Amino acid sequence: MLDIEGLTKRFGGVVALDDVHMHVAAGRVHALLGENGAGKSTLLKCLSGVHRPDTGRMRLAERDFAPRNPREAEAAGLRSVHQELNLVPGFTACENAYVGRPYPRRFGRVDWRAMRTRFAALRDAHRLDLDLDIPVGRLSVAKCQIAEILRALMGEARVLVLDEPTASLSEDEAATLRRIVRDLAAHGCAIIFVSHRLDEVFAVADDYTVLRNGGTVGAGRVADTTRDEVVALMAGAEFTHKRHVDAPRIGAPVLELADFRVSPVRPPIDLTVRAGEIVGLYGVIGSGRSSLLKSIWGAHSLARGRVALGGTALPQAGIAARIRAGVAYVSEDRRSTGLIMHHSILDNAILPRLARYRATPRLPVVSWRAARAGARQALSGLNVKYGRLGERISTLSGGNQQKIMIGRWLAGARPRLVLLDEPTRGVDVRSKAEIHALCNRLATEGAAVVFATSDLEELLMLAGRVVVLAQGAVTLDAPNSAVTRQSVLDATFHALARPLPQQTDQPGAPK
Amino acid sequence: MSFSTRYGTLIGLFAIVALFSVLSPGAFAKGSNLINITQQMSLLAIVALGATFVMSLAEFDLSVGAVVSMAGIVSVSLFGAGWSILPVVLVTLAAGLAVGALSGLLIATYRMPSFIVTLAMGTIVGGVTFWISDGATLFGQIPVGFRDLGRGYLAGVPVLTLWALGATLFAAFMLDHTELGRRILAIGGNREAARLTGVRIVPNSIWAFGLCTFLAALAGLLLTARLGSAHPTGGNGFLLQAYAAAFLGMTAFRDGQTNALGTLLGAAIIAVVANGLTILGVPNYLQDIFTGLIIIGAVLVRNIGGRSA
Repeated sequence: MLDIEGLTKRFGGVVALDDVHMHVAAGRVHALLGENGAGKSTLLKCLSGVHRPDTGRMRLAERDFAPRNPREAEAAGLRSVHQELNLVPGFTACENAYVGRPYPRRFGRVDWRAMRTRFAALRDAHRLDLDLDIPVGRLSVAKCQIAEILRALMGEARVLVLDEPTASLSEDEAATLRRIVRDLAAHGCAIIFVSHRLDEVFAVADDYTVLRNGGTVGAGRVADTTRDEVVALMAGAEFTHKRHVDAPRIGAPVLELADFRVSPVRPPIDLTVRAGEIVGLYGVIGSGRSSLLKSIWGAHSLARGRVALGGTALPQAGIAARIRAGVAYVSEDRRSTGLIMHHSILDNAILPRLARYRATPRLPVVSWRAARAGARQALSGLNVKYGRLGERISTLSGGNQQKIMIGRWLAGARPRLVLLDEPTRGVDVRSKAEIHALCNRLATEGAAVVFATSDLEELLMLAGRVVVLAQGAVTLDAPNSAVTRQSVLDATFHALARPLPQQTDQPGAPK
Repeated sequence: MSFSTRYGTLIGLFAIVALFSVLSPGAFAKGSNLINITQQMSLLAIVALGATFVMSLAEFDLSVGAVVSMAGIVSVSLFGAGWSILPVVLVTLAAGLAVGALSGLLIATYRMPSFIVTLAMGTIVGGVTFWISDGATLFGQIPVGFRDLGRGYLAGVPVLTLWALGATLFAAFMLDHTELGRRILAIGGNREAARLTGVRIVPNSIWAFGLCTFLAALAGLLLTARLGSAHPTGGNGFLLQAYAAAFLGMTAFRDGQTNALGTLLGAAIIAVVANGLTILGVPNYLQDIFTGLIIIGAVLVRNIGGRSA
């Protein structure tokens, strides 16, 4: 049904897709596999017309397929359901299905009855259970997923792309979804199924293709392979640049999590991080790395369980208490949740430690002279390149912005615990090395460092201890010296032995 | 940031003053008229400086007009009940502060849209003001000492002008030199980034809204002192003009950020246009049209200039 030959896509100097081949047959479920950054997303975007490949060709239903935008891809019969649901919460499933499509008309007015009849017929043809009269904002995530799939099936759907359809579903709901997927394939639809759960892939898929570093490294029938073989394909050759820094002296426990839950429906986590330790959190997107760091930081009001710093329990939520206790946090996304991009370098640099720059200790009045001196000192220590402190921080490179994000917590008393979410995402190689050196220095000076990363190389280069999360639970916790690329990926795609706690239907779930 | 983005709006004010001076050399350009303008703009400037606090938070407070009116009615009523000046002033200012603080509490705690909460709050305050005054203009027994707060001159400068300058210094100090002001601006710049950096949203929002209506209540007191009476809707006209002044202010001195000096400049532009056109005998409705065009023009010029920079 869909044939992809020699597809290549470059972004600037970075090769995102390198000679990808993939053959998807009608009536079969095809799993697309690969670790973070292997090129899955780029490939899906080429299919759906968001990106245009540089070279290579695609054929869909015996015709050349080169969509210039999502509408052309859809017209050719390729439909996508993204990981983040794209539904209007206040509309019913039926109303959502017609968003962006021509409405049936009767005497020039929208024919609501025809809309409903057609949509209900589609639903019943696929034996799906979905209420057509309530807004999707009041449906569970699983039902929203069904609404999205039905919307994708409107008209003639030849190829259906499902990107992590079960990531936010409970085990029961995921099983239902897998049944739906098999059912759609039986109707003759070709399905591309992206999942990080290998157990699921083996349960639902007929064929598979594995990507690594943007290229196809393996493909075949699922029945002819094993889990270990697939993981080995994803991992590739053992990476040799392992951590070479001497392990700093490990001291007393700094952070202790006991029976800690990011939210009441997530699995409990027990974790201890000691002074001088650098713990790397690894997992696929949605595995709970970012939520865990944010919860430790006290930014999630739903977190439950014990979180203690240096033996003293902290309240479950409350950032101010963390700051007082000597915790620092750097969020994963500089632009939207890290820096105030249209404010000055100075304003951004002093914000977390404003009270350090008082003119007199008792009055909350900022001494700009002290603030400038403090910021200059912090920035020069980090080798940040800038013109004037008054310039907008958006004028700096990503690497320099990232160094400021970390360095602004280091003024005055050194933090005892440093939480870094994706500390080197989108920064140049040189800044990345500097940030790694800074993490090592902090640990040597006795801080406990916890960082989350999607980059396996970074994990193995920086972490003294590797902690892998899968679906919110810890599946591996071992010293760096005891893990391999393969064992990390194995834990990442680990099928959980015990069933997940039953998820209740949560209203307002789609974003 | 270039010279023209920093001082463009100030140059605009000079240009407008120059234009009116040419068109009406006798009446407009007289020293006494220019001093009169500073007095005419003073109450607008004070309300607009209050609005600057909530705009720094990237929010709105639509109750400021109603709070100006309320302050007048409350103060005259209290004078009528035999209160003396200091308690009346303190209670009125506290009432003003409380209105905004309550709005800020609701908005920040329950993440309600400020537009709607403050619209409702302004309606409630307006209703209470009508209730107290029975819908009538109140004259009451206003002490001379109180009236002197809003009329007369000090060292040749109108007292109201001094109040406006004082309010400007106050707002500039709060926004630029206190931790509260920097945190308010940080929340307005990027709420989630500020929160994750440890800025507490609720108390800082309460203060921003509270300071806004505090200054509105001050303007209401001064309006009453100047007029010697209070009308239950006497301050309502300040609402739109105050935000117009604060928006104009964002185009001045700082790269698209709210700032107290800019707001004062914005109020000056609005007052100069009104004064100049009145002297030229242009009818009121044309003045409104001109003011609206100037605001759109200033923001347009800045946005087009900002894109090319």
